[in-house]
Amino acid sequence: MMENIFDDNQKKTPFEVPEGYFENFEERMMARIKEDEEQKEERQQIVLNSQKRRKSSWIIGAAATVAVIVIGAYAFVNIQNDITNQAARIAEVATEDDYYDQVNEMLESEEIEEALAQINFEE
Amino acid sequence: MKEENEIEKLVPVLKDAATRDRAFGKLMQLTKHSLYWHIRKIVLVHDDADDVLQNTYIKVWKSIENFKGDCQLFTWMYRIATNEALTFLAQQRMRSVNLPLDYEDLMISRMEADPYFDGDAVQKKFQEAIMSLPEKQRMVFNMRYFDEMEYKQIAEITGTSEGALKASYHIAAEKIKKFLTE
Repeated sequence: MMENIFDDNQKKTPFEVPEGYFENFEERMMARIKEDEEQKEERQQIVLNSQKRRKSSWIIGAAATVAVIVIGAYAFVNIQNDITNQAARIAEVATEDDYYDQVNEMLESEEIEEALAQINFEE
Repeated sequence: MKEENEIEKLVPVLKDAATRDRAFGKLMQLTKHSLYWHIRKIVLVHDDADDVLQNTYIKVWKSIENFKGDCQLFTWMYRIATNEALTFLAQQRMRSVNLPLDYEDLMISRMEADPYFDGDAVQKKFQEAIMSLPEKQRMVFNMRYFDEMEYKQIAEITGTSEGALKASYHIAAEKIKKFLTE
C-alpha cells in the first residue's frame, strides 16, 4: 500500500472543507476588505484630528506667548517711562528745594525781608 | 491555461479604481480554489488555511495598484500566499516553543484533530512523511506532486532555479519513500 502512494490514483489529499465554504466566498471577502478599509479610514481620521488639535493648540500656545511678550514689553516700557518721569520729577523737586535752601543759606532774614520789600516796591 | 489567461486579462481593470471591486470579485472566483489548497497543504488545518487565504487576498487588494507585471498575476498571488503561509507557520512555531512537543508532532496532532481531516492510516502516514521535510522542500513537493505544477512556474513562485527545484523534489521524494518504508 505504502509503495503505491506515489501512483497517480493515490494523489488525493485527505483534507476537506466545510460545506459551502467556497460559496459566497467573494461576497464575504469583499465585506471584510471594505470593513478593513473603513477601519483604516477611521484610524486615519483620528490621526488627522489629533494632528489638527495639536496644530491648533500649538497656534493658541504661540499666540498666547506672543500676547504675553507684547503685553509684558508694553508694561515694561510704561513702567520704565513712569520711573524715568518720576526720577526726573524727583530730581527737579530736589533741585528746586536745593535752590531755596541755598538762597536761604546765603541770605540773612533781614536781607530776605529787604528783598521782598524791593519786590513789592518794584510791583 | 485558459484560467490563467482570464486572470491576466483582469490586470488593467484591477488597476483602475472604478472597476476594481468587480474585477477583484472575479479574480477571487478564479483563484480561490487553487490558493486555498496551496495554503491548506502548507498549514494543514482548515481554520488556519482560511485565515491565511483571507490575509492573502487583503495583501493582494492593498498591493494590486503596485503590481508591476514583471511576472504573471497568478504567480504573483501564489508567491504572496506562500509567504503568508510560511509566515503563519513561523509564528506558530514561535508560539509553540514552550510546549513539550516537537513542532512537527504538534502540526500532525492539530491536523488529526481538525474536523476537516478525513484521511485513512496511509494518508496520515504520508502527511507525516511530508511533514518531516524542511518547510520549503515540503512546499516544492506539494506543488509538484499534488498540484502538478511545471518546474518553470514553481521557479517563478519560489525564486529558485529549475535545476535546484528538480534536485529538491528528487531528494524530498526519496526521503518520503524512506520514511514510509521504515
